[in-house]
Amino acid sequence: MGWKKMFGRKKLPPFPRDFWLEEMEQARDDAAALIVPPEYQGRLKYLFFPGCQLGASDPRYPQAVYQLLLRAEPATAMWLSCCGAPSYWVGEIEQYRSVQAEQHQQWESLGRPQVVLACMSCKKIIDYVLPDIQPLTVYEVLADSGLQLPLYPQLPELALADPCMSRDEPQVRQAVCTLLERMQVPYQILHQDIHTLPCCGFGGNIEGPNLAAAQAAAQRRISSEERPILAYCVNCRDVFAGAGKQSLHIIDLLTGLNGLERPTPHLSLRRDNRRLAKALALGGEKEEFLGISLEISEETARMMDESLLSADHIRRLIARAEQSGDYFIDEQQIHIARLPLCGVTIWAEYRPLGGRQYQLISVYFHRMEVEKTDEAAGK
Amino acid sequence: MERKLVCARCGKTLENKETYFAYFGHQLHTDLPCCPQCGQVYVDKELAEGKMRNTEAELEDK
Repeated sequence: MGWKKMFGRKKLPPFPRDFWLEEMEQARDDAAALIVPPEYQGRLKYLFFPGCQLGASDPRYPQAVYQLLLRAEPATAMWLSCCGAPSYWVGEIEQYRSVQAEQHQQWESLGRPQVVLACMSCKKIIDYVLPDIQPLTVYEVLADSGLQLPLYPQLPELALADPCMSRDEPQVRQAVCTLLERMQVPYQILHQDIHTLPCCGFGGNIEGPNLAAAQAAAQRRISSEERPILAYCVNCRDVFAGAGKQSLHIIDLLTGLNGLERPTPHLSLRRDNRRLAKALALGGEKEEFLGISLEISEETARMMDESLLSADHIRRLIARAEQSGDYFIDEQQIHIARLPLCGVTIWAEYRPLGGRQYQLISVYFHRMEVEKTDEAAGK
Repeated sequence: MERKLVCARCGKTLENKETYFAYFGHQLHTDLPCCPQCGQVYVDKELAEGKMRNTEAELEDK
């Protein structure tokens, strides 16, 4: 039975599904940006589309890759947005086609430049629905460029993990290998048969409904591998890093941004990362969602990751509570408030720090709907 | 020591009252702290992540 039918029949609670759709909408809305060099307006050669996860993983990635592309070809624009894959994965086909139609329109309005992608899921989706776009990957463009790249002959041997979305895309793997050879990176391909590449566990956003299945997929992919992993899909890199593996993205080698030990970024803080990626691309300051600044401990962020709660949910909860006065307060002046959110009720305990700053102390949720008591005055 | 909570809107200390829950077409009830004036109910972390989560899982599996 598909997702849509199961929700319709109330066989599944909706929360995990809506989390990923919210991620997509955030990437297409307040984290979206189009940067076009004014001198190349109307005569662009490339349109770089990093996808929704590159800046969510490391806010510096999109701008760093864009700078590389600009060195290779100055007539290059960058568009921060999302290809619509999350809506496809949850079966929202109409929404997905609408996203794709908007993208096609944007591409047309920019004069049909060559689209350049960093994410193989974006490529699969665009190839399937918008075949006239015929996108390339940033790895192909950089491999064909004469750019001088940094050298890494001293690195330990890396295991190159192709993403599952590279199945039947040998030209992309070849471009990645060309870049690695040009950078003198010691490496071996982890899974040779490009037609049967396994998934890291990210695909389909199964982490929400079945975290154990996602973690098992990651373990199957890397458990017997002793070498550090080199990925060219940011989701794979983050999944492997989250499974405790030393992991690099090829962008780290191309730009020198990160080493082998970068931990997986918190799922709950990815919307903040996207906003920072946008600010870095536009050369401005990051804006806080609803103007609320939050202090979140490492432990709380980890718990929020597992519960598919974003820092933005907490900002909405606090904004609603502080505006309406609907919260409880304890002897320590800690505020406790709730937010109904697509089938669940989120609770947060937080301490006001002055102005619009708050320290998040605890977060939890339940799916049951709590009704008011019969005895409540005036009810 | 039991945590003393006050409703910020009404200034009243929460009191235990019989409270009804609904989930997947089922209705359950128990005593929970709530504001005696506006009726806002407080669910603590232990209840949400313990009994409520177990009951939700049981009802989802039915």
